[in-house]
Amino acid sequence: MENREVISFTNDEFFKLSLSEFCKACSVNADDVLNYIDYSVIEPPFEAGEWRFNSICIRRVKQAGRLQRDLGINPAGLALALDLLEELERLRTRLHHYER
Amino acid sequence: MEYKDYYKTLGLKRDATADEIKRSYRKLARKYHPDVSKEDNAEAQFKQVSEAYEVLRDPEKRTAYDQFGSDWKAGQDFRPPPNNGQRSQYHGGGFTGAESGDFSDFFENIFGGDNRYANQGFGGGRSRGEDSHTKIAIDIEDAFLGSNRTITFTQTKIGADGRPVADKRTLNVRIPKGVQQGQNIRPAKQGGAAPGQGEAGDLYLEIEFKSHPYYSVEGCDVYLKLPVAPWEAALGAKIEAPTPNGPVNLSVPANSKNGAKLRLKGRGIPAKTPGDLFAVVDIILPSATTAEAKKAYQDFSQAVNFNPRKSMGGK
Repeated sequence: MENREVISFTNDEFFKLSLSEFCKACSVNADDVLNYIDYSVIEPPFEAGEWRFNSICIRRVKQAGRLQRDLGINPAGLALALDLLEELERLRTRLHHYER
Repeated sequence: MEYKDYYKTLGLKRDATADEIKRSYRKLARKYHPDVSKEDNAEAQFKQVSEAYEVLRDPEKRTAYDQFGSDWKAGQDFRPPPNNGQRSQYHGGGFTGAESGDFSDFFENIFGGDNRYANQGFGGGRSRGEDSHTKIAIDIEDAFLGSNRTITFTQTKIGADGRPVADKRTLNVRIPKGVQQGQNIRPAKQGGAAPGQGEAGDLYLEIEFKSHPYYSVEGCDVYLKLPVAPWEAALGAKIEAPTPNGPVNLSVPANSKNGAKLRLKGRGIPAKTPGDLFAVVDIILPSATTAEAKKAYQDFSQAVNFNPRKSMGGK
């Protein structure tokens, strides 16, 4: 069933999330998030006494969750894998640019 | 429904040991994991591998599967034997969590049917609606100017009968100026509606740039592949170059080499500290198809004493 609706709104752009908002947004619990921070799987800035989670954190935590669940990677390995995947992506973009 | 050859999917013989099954699954899961793999159909392949492992790793399910015998071929039309009414004996615990809802009809028919898998999403029992995540592809130009986009996405929501239904929604989204690849924008309270009177969840849209014929983006910086004639590169030239913000005049210095980067400071994606635009010199040789062009190349070779293979010992 297709339910078409068109809603216009303004974005809450360039937001940063608190720990509890972040947990809800990514369906993770706070202990896991703090563990990820310990292993620098994510590196949210710490501002005015609390963590502020940005888009990069959202992407990395979701990816980390899938890699942990499907491949059994531990937090230290997740940080390494995500860094390497980002590097690979950057190099692929550059290669694509030069090969056109 | 189609028979699934789970042993073949994992590249195993029917008498494979539990360790062999585990090793083969791990290897293939790494190969096809959608977060890692660039193979075509990685996601579909990964699902098949996960489904095969879900059955073969579990002695109960494996035994039941083995009872169908070894004469079946993958893709063959399969009807389960009539005594397969004991599906409730299979215990839940789908290791692949939320995604096991996507397993094949074959799997669902034999091991599913009690919805234990489909409902194994994260958490549950929350008072607010689910947050939704979706990707949205925009043009690079949109990040410079901002724009309005209409997006269509599918969201799972709880229907009147309490079961999840797929709901196709269309939204008009304002793309703010200065967004970057991978950035999320969050139109408030557009996620899944909460069951009962709870608050709706948030919708997160991850920005992805569509690939562009001559721009590419790294963080805030934009790279432009700039075609240049050999004489423009050699003698230097003032040329007009496109940017996502409109054309600019650019000085190509004399004796520019192929691949040289000309930096236009602050012409990248707008931000507090805007990115830069790098025009990468791409020297294009005109082909010698006319008598005039041939003569020009011959004159050039006479006039310039040049051997590009000098460093290789050429004379």
